[in-house]
Order: sequence, then C-alpha cells, then structure tokens
Amino acid sequence: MKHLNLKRALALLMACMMLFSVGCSSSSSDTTPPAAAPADNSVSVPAAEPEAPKEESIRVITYFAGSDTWAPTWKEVIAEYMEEHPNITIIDESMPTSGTTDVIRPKMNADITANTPADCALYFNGTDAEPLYKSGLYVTWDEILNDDPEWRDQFLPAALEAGKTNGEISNLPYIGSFEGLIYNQAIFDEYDLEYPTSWENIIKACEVISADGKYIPLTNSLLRVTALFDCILLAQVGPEKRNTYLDPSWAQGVDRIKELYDAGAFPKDAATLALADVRAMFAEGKGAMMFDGSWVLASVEDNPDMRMIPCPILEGGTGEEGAVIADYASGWYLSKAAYERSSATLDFVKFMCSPETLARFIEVGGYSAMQLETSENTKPVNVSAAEMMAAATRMVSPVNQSMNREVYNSLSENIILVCETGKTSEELIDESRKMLEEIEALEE
Amino acid sequence: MALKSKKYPLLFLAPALAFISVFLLIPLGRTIYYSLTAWYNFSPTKKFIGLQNYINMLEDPILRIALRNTGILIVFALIFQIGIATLLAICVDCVRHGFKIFRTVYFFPVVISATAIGLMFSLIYKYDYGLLNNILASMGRERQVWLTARSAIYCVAVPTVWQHVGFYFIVVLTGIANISEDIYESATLDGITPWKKAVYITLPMLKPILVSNVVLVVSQSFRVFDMVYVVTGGGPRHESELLSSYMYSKAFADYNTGFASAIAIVMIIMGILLTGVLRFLMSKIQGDD
Repeated sequence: MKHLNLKRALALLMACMMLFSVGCSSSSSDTTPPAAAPADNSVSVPAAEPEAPKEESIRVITYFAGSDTWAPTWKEVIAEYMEEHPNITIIDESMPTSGTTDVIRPKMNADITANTPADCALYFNGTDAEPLYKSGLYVTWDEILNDDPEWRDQFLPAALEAGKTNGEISNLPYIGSFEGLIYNQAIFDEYDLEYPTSWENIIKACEVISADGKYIPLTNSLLRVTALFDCILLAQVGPEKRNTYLDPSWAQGVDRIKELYDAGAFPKDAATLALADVRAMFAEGKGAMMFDGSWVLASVEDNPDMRMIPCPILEGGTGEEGAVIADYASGWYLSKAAYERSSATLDFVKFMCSPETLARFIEVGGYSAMQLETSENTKPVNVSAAEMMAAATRMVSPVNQSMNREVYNSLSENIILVCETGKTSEELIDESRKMLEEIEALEE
Repeated sequence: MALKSKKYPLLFLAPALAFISVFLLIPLGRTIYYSLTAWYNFSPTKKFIGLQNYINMLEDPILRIALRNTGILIVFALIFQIGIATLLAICVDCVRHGFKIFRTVYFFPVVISATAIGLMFSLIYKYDYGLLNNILASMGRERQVWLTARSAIYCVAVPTVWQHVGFYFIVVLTGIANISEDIYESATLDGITPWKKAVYITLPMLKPILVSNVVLVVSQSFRVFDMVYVVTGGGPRHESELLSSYMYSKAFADYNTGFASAIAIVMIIMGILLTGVLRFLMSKIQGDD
C-alpha cells in the first residue's frame, strides 16, 4: 500500500513537471504597489512619501536592426531613455527589413494573428497598415493628438495625412524616404562621361563602363527589382499612369530596364545578388550608379563625389518634371493594451516623436515628419538629395506601398524574365494584371 | 480491467500527448483548413474556396520548378551524402592513427548552423569577390557566374551535402565497428583484397544502416530551407526554389497564406508517401537477402 502511494505520488509529480516544462511566460508588466496614504486623524502626521514610479516594460518593434542605417542611433536613444527613466525597461524586438531578408513583416503579422501585439511599433503604412488597422489592436491617433495640440502642431500636415488609414490617423509618420538615382561623379570624370542627367547619358555610361570592366555601371539587383522599377516607371509614364496599377503603359518601364540590361548595366550575377550585397558594392566605390532610396545615403555620405538626382525624364514617355518617389512609408503604432495599461508607452512614443530625438535620426538620413531646424554640416550627397526634394513638385509613393504584395512581388521578381528570356514586357504586365484581378475577385 | 492496469502508462503519456496535440495536431488541422481558404495579408477574415488553392498549384509554373528541384536535391543527397559518408567511413576504419581527428573533422560541419554555411558558400560563389572566381583569376582564367539558372540548385545541393555528410559518416562508422572482426580475419586469411573486403563484406553487413540512412536523407532533404534562402534566395528566376522556400515566400513575402498552407499540406503528403514507398522497397531488398 505504501509502495502504491509512493508510485502514485511519483507519477503525479512527473506529470506536473512535464506540464510545467511546456512553458509559461511571465507577464511583461510588473507593478509595485503604491505607498499607502496616511490615515486622517487629529494628530499631525508626516506628509505621504511621493508615489514611486511604477516599474514597467515596454515591448517595441522597429526596423532599426541589423545593418539598418538608423540602428546605431536607435540603440543610443533607447539606452539614454532607460537611463533617464530607471523604472522603464525597453524590450527591443526590432527586426531588419531588407528585401528578401525582411523579417519584421512576418514578425508583426504573426504577433497580430496571435493577439500579442508589441506595445508600440515603428512599422510601415500603406498595404502593410491594413492588417494592423483591421485587427483593432492598435489605437488611432486622432483623439490623442487633439488632446495635446502643442505636440500635434509639431508634425507636418502632409506627414499626418500620410499616416491615415480609412480616414483615421492609424500611425504617426516619422522618417520620410525618397528614391532616386545616386551616382559617383568620380567614376564619370574618370571616363570623361557626362553626368547621368539624361537617359542617353545613362545608356552611354553603361556601355562605356561595362566595356572596360573595372566598375559596374549600375549596381542594382535583378533578384527583386524595387527602386529601379519605381523610378524608371515614374520617369517613363508620369504620376497619373503610374497610379493606375498595371496600366499597359507600364510595359514601357519594363522595356527601359531591358535596355539597361542589354547595355551591360548590371552586375553579372545580378539575378542572385541581395540588396545588401549591391549596396555594399556601391558604397565601396565599385559601382557608378544605383537606383535606391534615402536609407542608403548614410552609407555613402562620406564619399564627397556622391550625388543624388531624380531619374531623368524619358523621351517618348509621359513623365513629369519634378515628380519624385517619396513618402512617409512608416510610422508609430500604439497598442490599445499598452495605452490602457498606463501612460508609459505613450510617453515613450512622445519622446521618440519629439523634434530633438527625431533630429538625431534625420542627421543620419531621410526627411522629417516634424518641423526641424536644418543642420549646417550636411554632406554633399545629402545636399543634392535635399535639392532634389526642394525642387520636387509632386511626391508619389512607391508602388509597393499600396499594390497587392503578391502581385508586386511577382512583377518585380519576373522583370528578369523579360531581360533574359523571350518573355515580353506586355506579357508580364498582362499576367500581373490577371493575377491582381483574380485576387481581387477572391477577396470580394 | 485492462485499462486499469494501463493507467500509469497513460498518466505518463498524457502530458506528451497534450503537448503533441497543442503543437502538432491542432496546427496541422488548422493548416488543412487554411489551405481551403483565400487568406491574404493575415486578415482576420478568410473566405472558404474549397480546393481552389490546390487547383492553382497545378497551374503554377514555379511550383513545378520547386517540385523538380526538391527531387533533384533528394537524389543528389542520396547519392552523395550516403555515398561519400560510406566511402569515408570505410577509409577511416582502415586508419590506425589519427582516427579521432578524422572523426572530429568530418563531423564538424554538422554542428555549424546551416545559415552560416549558406553565407560562407554564397560568398564563395560571388562573381566579383568570390573565392572560386579569385582562384580562377589567379590562374589567369575568366571569372564565371556560378549561380546560373541551370547550376543554382546544384550550388545549393553542394553545401547541403557538405553539412550533413559527417552525420551519416558517424552512423556508418558505428555500423562498421559493430561488424564482427572474426569475419574480416577469416577473409584476410583467404587472401581478400581491401576492395573486395569492402564490397563483399562491409557493404552487405551495413545494409540495415544504409536503409535507415536513406529514409533519414529523404526526410531531411524535404526540410532544407535556410540553405537555399541564404545562398540564392530562390533565384535566379526562381530556378533554385524548393517547396519549402516557395512556401515561405508565399506566406511571408506575398502574404498569400492560404496558398502557402496548401503547399505545406502537399509537402506533408509527399513526405509520408515517399517515406512509405522507400521503406517498402528497402524492406523488399532486405527481405530478398
């Protein structure tokens, strides 16, 4: 009997240990109880001690991770914030986003599906904002901004407009980005070539530089074509047709990429090069030109020969002078759970969205969603980028901001088929349009 | 009465069964359901579309490429992983000194993460500053593009084989160690050559182990993802896509989770069928002996 009881006890103990080992996580918040208020009586009592600030952890997700331009600034900023607020612990769950190694999007979407959103996140808007908006897990900022008009007025109106989903401000835009053609003047001077201010100059440069073999004319990847297609498409067809997704005129933009391919513009292994690889090659001075965005300027700004211009308008097209690819592609989201829990997360977001903090990020690259004073120590490539933006008469957001992701990825991954196989640009655009129509029919 | 006598085994099994239900069976059931829906952008709403995702798979050219490449990878792994592992094991078994050094060196790649190996090989294959092209350039030859549409899958298969051959080497070596020395001694007395010893004694005695290795290689090849993701990204032109990498890109790049779930279900069914067929064939081979 004693033996049987012992067996039962052991069996129960082992079963409990196995269940325990399945795991349970501790909660993210840990509050200490406030100090008790003094009793109310006729004898004078010492004044109550000030309430100790609550210990709190804030889960934050941003794309300031890995080789991201702003990652070092982000690390400094959150370390300083925790030093100034010893009761706050920032749990940094930042994930990189870079072409095929985009990890932040799967992370955010997995968190939303599991109903465990981060307390706050710097994440994309456009089509990426829709799952967050539809989940109902995040606040809209309209009321919060109206409660703090002084803070609200520091944002640029165009920026707040960019953060809207279904007419409500779903995110607070932070760092704007723009795309264009970055080129190395020194390489053009070496070959006595005219700078790439016209399409003819670009093609001639590609032919001359590729013939020599010392440099790569255009360090862009063909594994997935992003900024390259964006810029050329806008320069070829103009904003109206660019905003009509998969308009037949888009085939002209694809044909221009084939023209570059035939001129020997791209690296020999462009079909398998990742974005990080081509950016590294360009920053090391191996490439003459690159179509990319403001996020890479920090990696090339120390080279005094770098300049940034919009893609030149293409002859025979309907491109519009002054139109640039630019947008506030991301903004701050605040989860309802964190907002209702305490003011700590909102305070942190207000700290991040303050001119002083944002100025530190803008020093590295991008353009501000808030009103800032300009810096005097701007590098030449940033000066040229600022001139490009100052001259811009129209800002057009990137194609991938609002186009169905599957269709956009299919289009950008298959442009190489037009370059290397017998597929025509019209066939590619037709296939993409058919895919979009099928998906829209299924989603109805 | 029978159940009462099994109550302790059942009690011990209950937590593991609960664990498997929560982390395997329930997700599997949900994946089957998702594969029958149109589910985009991780939306809270899913639209039931029946077998449409499976019909779309039949018309998808990239899926055909992924299937072909998965088959190529399996065959490549079967031939070279088991072949090289067996050859190395037979050679190392003959070595009297430095046995442990060989064992450690050949097993070393197994403990390195596939991502690190993939990164190393992607640098080796690079056109501009890759190791292979630097060797060619130093010999005065022209640089090559190693990751072409035709060669990309093989360039992925090489590091995959390299990483895992050490594991099967250890398995086969252990098998050889368990072969009785008396057999070899009597064969040596009859004047057998090392080649005949390997072919007529070692290999037949290793058959059960080789059969197990075949099943392991097939199931392991189905799971290859990180290598192709890092080395080629599925390119160029999707020519090195595997079922696993295509499923991942559909789910997390294209946000078409319904279609990705259908690919996952097809992978599970293919894996079960393939493993079953192989086991049947191998048992037939063993039975004939």
